[in-house]
Amino acid sequence: MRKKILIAKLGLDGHDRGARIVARAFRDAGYDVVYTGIRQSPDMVVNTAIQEDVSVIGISILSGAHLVLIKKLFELMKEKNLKIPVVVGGIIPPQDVPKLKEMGVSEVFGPGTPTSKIVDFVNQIIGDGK
Amino acid sequence: MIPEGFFEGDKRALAKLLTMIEDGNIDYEKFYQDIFPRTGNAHIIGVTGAPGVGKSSLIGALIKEARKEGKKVGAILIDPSSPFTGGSLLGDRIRMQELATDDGVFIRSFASRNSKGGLFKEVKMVVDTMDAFGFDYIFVESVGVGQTEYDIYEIAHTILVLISPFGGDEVQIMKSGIMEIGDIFIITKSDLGNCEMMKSLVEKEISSREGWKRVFCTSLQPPNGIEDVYNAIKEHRTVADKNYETKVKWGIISAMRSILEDMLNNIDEDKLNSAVKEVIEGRMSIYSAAKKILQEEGIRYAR
Repeated sequence: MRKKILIAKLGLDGHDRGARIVARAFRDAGYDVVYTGIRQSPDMVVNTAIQEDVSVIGISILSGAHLVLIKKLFELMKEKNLKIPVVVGGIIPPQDVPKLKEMGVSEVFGPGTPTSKIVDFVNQIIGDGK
Repeated sequence: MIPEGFFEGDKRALAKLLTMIEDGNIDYEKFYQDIFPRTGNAHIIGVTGAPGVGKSSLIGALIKEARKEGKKVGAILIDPSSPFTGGSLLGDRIRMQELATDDGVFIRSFASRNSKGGLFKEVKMVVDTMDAFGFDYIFVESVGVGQTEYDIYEIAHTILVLISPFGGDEVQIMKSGIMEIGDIFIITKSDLGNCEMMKSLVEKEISSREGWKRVFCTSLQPPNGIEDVYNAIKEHRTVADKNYETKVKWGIISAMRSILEDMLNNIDEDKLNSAVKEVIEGRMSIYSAAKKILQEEGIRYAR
């Protein structure tokens, strides 16, 4: 059974260094990684996740706009009846983590997280691809 | 077995069906019964060329041309799987991601799963599925290939071969392989120069070949020559309408392949193990063991 993840940068971040490191980690863990790069709108992410039929969405944000953008993302997912886990990485102040989780985010990973920890977590939530 | 909503144009149903095909989790008989008869309307365009030559970017630009005419477009983008981990980085979308919010466009990335011909095993069924869904054009982008990966020839009406302006001298262009399967040759990145030089080499080469051929220079920064390529694609369709008999023939061959594959995956383990023993103990060759098992499955192979 294939494991497929979408890695996207939501919002107007200037670079995608972290997202690419995470994308490589998933590639090397045997995932098919759909990589869309920077400046994605919530609309683009949801449509891409539907067309690509991924099992999980990985979002990277460092601009500070996470509360607004992730909220919008989940609104659109609900509207389009897309029920898959979302994990977030990037620069997220600790006090915002519970807010994101309340919106529906499965986990938030900050700077310095070993990539193996992220991969293990995602393996677990998608039931090892099954 | 066909997901609900597929025939009503629900893209999620299309996406799910494509996953079922990709995973081999599909009732082939139902597939050929329900999907195949609805195919034959889409113009299928194969795009091939070396890594980084600009296949995805050109497809993105051509889709925009088609959208100006209100055509519905599907795209199948293939990137290589790792032979070691099985993983892949599917990064073609990034060149056309602004199309993600266009309702008339559906883009799907696939990993090659180490098929050798630049496509992946189930691509024919994927193309048929998109065709049945009702797209006017379907672009198939092969893995960035070298010189001999021309599986795409079998499934597309029109083949675009992309060549870098610094893609080699006259002898490179004279070689057999992908130069022979192209209908439209495109020298990309003309803004870098040397495009006209390369174009004349290609023109010289194809002038010795029969049939409809075109050569263009294109660039995307700034956009140049894209409309000419799009018009040539449309023109080519009038000369390249692969007849229905050929299509059905390929359908049958591809169905046979699916059935055999399915059968091979379900060979009785005990039978296999006893054959292994026979071979190891020197009573039988590997080849005759394989033949024996197939015979027992009811497949006669005369040679």
